[in-house]
Amino acid sequence: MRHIIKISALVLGLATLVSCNGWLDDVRQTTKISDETVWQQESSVDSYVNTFYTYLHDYSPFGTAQYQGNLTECLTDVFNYGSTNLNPRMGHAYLLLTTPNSISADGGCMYSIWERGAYKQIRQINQFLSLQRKYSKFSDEQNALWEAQVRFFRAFVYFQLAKRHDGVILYDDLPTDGQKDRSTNEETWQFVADDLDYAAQHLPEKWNAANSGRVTKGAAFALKSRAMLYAGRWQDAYDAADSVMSLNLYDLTAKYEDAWKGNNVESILEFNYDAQNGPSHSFDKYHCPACDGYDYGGLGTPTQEMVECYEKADGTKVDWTPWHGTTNVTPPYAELEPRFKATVIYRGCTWKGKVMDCSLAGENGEYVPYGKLITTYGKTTTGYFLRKLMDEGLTDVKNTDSSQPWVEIRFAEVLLNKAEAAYRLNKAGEARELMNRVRGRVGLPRKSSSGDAWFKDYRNERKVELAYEGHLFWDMRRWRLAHTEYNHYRTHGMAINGASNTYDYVVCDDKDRLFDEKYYCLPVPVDERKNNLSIKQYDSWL
Amino acid sequence: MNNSILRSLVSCVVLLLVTFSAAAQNPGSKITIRTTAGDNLETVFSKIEKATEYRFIYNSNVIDVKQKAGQITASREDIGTFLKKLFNGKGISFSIKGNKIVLSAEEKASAAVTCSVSGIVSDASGAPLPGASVMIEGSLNGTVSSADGKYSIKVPAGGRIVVSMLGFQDRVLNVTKSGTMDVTLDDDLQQLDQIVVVGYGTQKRSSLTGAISTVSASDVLKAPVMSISNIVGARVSGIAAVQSSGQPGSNNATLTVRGQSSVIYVIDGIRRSAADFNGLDPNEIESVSVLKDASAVAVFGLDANAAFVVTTKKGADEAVKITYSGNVGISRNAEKHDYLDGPEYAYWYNKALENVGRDPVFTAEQVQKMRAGVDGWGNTDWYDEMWGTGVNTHHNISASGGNKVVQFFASLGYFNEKGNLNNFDYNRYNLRANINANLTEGLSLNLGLSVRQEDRSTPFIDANPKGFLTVPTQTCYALPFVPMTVKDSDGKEYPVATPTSIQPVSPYAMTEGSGYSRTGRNYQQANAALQYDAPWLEGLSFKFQGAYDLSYAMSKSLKTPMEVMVVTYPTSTTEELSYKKVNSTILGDTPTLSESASRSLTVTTQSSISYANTFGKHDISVLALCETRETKGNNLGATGYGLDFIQLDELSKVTNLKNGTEEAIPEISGASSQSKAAGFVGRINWNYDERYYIEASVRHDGSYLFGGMNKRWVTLPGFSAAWRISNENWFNVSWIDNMKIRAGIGKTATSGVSAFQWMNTMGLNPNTVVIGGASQSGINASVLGNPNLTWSQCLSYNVGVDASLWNGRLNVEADAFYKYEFDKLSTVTGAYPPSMGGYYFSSDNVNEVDYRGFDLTLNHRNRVGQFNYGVKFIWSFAYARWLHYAGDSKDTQEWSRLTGKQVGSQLALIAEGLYQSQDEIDNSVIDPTRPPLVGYIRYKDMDGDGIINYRKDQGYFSRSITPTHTGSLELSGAWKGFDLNVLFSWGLGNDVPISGLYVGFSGTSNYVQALTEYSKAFYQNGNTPKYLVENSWTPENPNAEFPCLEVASRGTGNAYCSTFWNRNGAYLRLKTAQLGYTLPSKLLSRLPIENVRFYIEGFNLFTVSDLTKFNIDPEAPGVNNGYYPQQRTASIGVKVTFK
Repeated sequence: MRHIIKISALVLGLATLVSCNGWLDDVRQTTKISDETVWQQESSVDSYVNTFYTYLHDYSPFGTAQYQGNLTECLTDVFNYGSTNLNPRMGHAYLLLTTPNSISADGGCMYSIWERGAYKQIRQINQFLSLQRKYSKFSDEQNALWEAQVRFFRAFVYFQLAKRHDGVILYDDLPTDGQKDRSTNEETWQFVADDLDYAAQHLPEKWNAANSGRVTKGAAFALKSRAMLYAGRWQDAYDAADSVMSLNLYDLTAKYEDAWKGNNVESILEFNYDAQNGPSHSFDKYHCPACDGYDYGGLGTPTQEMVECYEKADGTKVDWTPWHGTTNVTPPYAELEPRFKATVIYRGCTWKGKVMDCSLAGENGEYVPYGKLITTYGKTTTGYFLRKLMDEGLTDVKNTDSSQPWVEIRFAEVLLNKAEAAYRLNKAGEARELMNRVRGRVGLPRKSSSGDAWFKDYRNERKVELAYEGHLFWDMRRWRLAHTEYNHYRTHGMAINGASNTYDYVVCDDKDRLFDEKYYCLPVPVDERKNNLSIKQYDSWL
Repeated sequence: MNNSILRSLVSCVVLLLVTFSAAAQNPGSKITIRTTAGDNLETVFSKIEKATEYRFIYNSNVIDVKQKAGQITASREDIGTFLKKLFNGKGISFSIKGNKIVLSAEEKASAAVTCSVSGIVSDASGAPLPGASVMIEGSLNGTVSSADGKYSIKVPAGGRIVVSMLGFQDRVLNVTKSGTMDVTLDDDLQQLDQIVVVGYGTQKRSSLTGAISTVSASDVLKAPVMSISNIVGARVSGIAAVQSSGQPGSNNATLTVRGQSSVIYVIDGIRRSAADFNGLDPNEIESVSVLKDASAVAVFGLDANAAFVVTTKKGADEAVKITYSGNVGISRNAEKHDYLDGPEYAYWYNKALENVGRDPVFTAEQVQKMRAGVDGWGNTDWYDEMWGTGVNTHHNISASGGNKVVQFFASLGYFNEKGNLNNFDYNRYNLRANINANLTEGLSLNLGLSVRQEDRSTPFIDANPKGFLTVPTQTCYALPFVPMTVKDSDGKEYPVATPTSIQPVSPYAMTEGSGYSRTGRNYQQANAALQYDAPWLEGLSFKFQGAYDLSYAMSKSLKTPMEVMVVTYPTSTTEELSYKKVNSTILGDTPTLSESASRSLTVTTQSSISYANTFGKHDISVLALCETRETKGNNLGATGYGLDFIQLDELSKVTNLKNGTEEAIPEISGASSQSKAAGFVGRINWNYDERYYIEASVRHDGSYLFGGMNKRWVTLPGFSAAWRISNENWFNVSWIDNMKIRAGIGKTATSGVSAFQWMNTMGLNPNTVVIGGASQSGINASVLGNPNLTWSQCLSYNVGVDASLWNGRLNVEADAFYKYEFDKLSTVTGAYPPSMGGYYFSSDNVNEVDYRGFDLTLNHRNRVGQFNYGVKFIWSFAYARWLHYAGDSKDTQEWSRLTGKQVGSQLALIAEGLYQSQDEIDNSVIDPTRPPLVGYIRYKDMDGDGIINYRKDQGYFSRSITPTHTGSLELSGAWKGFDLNVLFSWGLGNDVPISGLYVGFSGTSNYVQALTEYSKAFYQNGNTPKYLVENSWTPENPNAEFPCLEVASRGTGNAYCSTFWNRNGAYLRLKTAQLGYTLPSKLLSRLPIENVRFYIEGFNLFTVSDLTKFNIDPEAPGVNNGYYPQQRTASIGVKVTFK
């Protein structure tokens, strides 16, 4: 007995006193996969590529990347957030408009994306490309197809950066120590152009059904036509738009109200949603009137300024002077062209089966004077609600997310891009034709103006056609018109008294909105300068 | 645990006890020993004590134990036979009582016996002490107290008797006449022979070389139960204990030792969790040792900068004793929030409107209606209505006893806490059985079994301080000018909801109708230790200990929609308040049922060889040990939508319909995890003549958390030495009984990083895009692996002194320490430009911190006549400083760098009071993005660039919210049967923002918000604490403490974190008080009861602090929008020991 115990004690002790390293190695990761694993099968690389498509959502009006969830139209004269609370989709925007000097080299800017994720996205893209070089054992053709998609999104993100700044830090591979100066404006746009050229060259015109929704050759050309307008490279913009047209895949939809709804002949690049399984968005929740059955919407509404941009259906202008005071006469909403009715909810129109009031104490759409309530949930401060981008078929807004697709690029924009490029290239006739094609869809007469007058018409056409699709603010910046047109002004709305049918023209701001030339280029954010000692601030921000 | 499981467990334990009691009838063990010529009696005694369960009891003044023992060899000899041989001719007689061998001098000439004295020896709590030695002073005559503490002795008149026992202070009594003399012995923590549990072993207190404090079983029972951390935290120096919640089941304190929170909990030799520590029934605890410095704690390895080592009670070779203790108490919030009532709200709200030039809303008529409670108006003190009185009950029954072969301890405890907020409950059952068996010669088995069931239950909307619109938050927001409930047109009553700017809130609806969230956790922990003391080499032992810790958790939650009546905010023309019935937004429209189950298993093994022996004046012990620990966990859960009947709340009954129509597939989840660690320990202890002590240890520890062989393993040495000056021959200071100087140095290491940070990993996100007409998943790069990641290490230095002065009247334990922590793991976002897009290691070994401080314990005990009293003062100081903080940007200003500053310093702008006029604003440097108004906070332009920009002007100007100095003052006294224990705790040296601290500040956030309902009047359109309005700025009140009132603010420049909101966090708190009375034993003599003690006790009885003006508890959590406050508790209890 004694010996048995003695021996077993020694054995037991020694048996455990062996190297435990192999034993420690035995633990396996259970929540994540290693980077190498992804490259073992085609479907997982496809999933990896999928992640970059979400950037389309991020920079859309349904995402939050452009300006913390606000529509960038709120920085122009066409859209107002009514609540004064300092929150996104509330008083944020107004504070920025009235105290624009909060944009500073030391504080950055509320719609700067440099420090808010843009470079994270670029790094993710470059990491994909770098891992692809390292691990991919697939065919060159397959690799090119992935690279083309991914580089399309790199161009897309750099486009977002470039339109805010004046030349940014360019990375076509993973960063090393982060000490890097920015490139010039020209180099930045060339970087965008190169990525898009590569994408256009390698992407298919159409994908098979299982891959429908992926970026195409047409999307690459279309984005290039847009980007090159910002770059001021008119011929490139013209050629890119021309390439889209010559694909013969796209056309205008018959009705304007279908144009931005996706899944049709007009859509060149879109991001789809699935309210059931995800992804989904909450745009309708943020913007619906309370009568939709959700109490916290109506945060931002169209202004009178937007309404007055619409021509009558016969192409003539309305004289709005009678409504720039107080009157009992109903404004000529009914006479305005179809695009108005497809864009704005106004008093007397029908929305989700209800005839809208949009008036003081109105049951279907309530008006409340700006500044009276801290939060104007479900109410309008301008007398209008937004119809465009909203899904009229979504009956249970409160409990259901939206699945209205986001159309990033549609054919009408390409036509207008080409028109603008043609105008710059002194092809006035062609420019006129292209714009009139867009007008033609809604039955408006042709515009035959020329020179500056044509460009003015073009600006209005673009504003109306692409209303609330995220263009206006950036167009005004690239045209260098924001500091003249968006400086020292206030927006207006209609205070409607339903009982007496009184229309009262009211100011919807309590301070002037301001814009300085300086803001055409946002500063290098302070966090960048703190840790990247090689970067130089833009001269205008020194 | 359901009742049937509990029943079967109880019967199992009973069966075990019966079996072992039967085995315990076996005859006593034989002894095998060989004494050498050099051995004196004391050495022989200690050999016997080591080899057997026998303990020698004698008075060293009477028995000369230094005399030579002589050479005797015994092999499997009866102990009595051996002792007869040993004491032959030495003038010593002995008697064996249980495992106690009581020695007395052989009677010589018998003295004239005049007095016959008898009585009971008991401890301070009144429990009888068996085996106490009762000796006639100056003679060798004496006796020993019996199992029920009784003694009787004959003493010459005018003589004195000395009553002594190990672990207690001696008492000397004058004997003048025959009669009864009951004796109470005070336990003496400082007793030098006290056995202290250290890492992987025990040591005598006198031979400790590291900074180790202890808490005894009796200390643990001096405060209301709740959780052990609250008790230990206040009673040991070097610990900062913060109890940041009063919620039943979550009211434990977070323990920080010497500024570091990486502490471990070791229960019966096995590392266990903080939850296990807090889940202990205090009646199970024998002792708690707190290992504070690295030289003592390094042997534990992994993540142990300090250790709480708990030993649970064991049985002894004595008659079976059964003890019942129970108490019941009530609790209320320790700090009460004072919010505006209806009329006050109306007054101040109007005032706020007036300040921004707007018309008042509330009319005198409306205020009348509030008071009268008509037309839908009311006057509700939501705070009072919601927070009531809680009840807690605790019962414990334990039994212990045994014989030479088997000893057992068993305990069954029940603890229930019913919160003072409706439907917040906590239930705990504790079952523990410890069985020791001497299997055969040299081989002993130690079996420990612990089963614990904890059930927590809250409404679905709970009180988590970081939660969204929790019940306490909603209570703060709720408007006071409405009733709690109103009737709808259908005559049914509904809770009233306040339309805040977030969403309607109704605290009453939340506790009564939001559904529930229940978690039951079951812990089954088993230890088995097999020890073999080699008879062929004295002092050599082999020990194998294994632990199998299994825990299960079952959670179930149900969110139920609830209709509330949202009040329409009145205008000045409102006659009757109107209400609109809606489904509470936070609860949604669909019943949502979630259930989850998780299981975790930890297997620990320890295999060790130890050797201990004495060679002349040299005492040596050596230990080699190998430890492995593996944890496996997995969980699964499901969430379903829609129920036909709320009462039939089962997952199989969900309708899969959201909002009545929309199809909603139940969501399932599941995951598993695994972790492993291994370590090797070596330790050697040496002491020479009880004068010089040295301890050296090393641990080689490995963790799966790190990648390569060279990164994974770390070597942690510890070295300490002590010099007991008082044992030097030349030392001759009469008032110093004992004095020891200690010094130690050691290294500890922490991981503090999640697993697999060393490899590149990718994240998988389901349903991120719609491609090909269907939802598809996305993969993104997630962790950039850092292959160099390794342990964060800490070098620590400690010097200390222990002294016992004036015959134990004053005991001093003082330590000073310095710690240098390097390779500290951290995230390093702040140090890289955004253009890198996060392409850097998310964790790296980059930071350096040092800690300095001291711990001091002064303990005075004395007796004046029948009155025993004690005063214990504890003062701990710990200051942590960033030596290098990698998150500091490359070109930040000095004031906004953390390097060189206190760990925990808070970012803030410097506030320079309130703006008094527009003129002052026009001539000041302001923040243009948040233009100030008169009555707003004025900030300092730190960088002098003419603009207030929080990014550039803020700095680490506020101290940490944790006190740097903490301590306690304990007063205790006992007189006849009464005993009193009062403990004050205190802290100072910290800044507490009224608003709560917003941790998680992000470098790119534009909205550094320091505003909560505590610092912003009418925050979120809700109610407001009185102090905010009553002392707000107005032109008439320019020296106001708070900014001007506003209803809606445009510029909210007051929201920045600034020194404006800081208050001194110093506090003094009467933490616990207990008054007890022990019935005289005479009263009980006819009952089968040995001892009865009644007591009343309280917890958090009162607080003195600047913060209480703002209803802030000094232990409030840093971030909160309302939380479950600390409780003030009062309870009564009884403890009965049966014969």
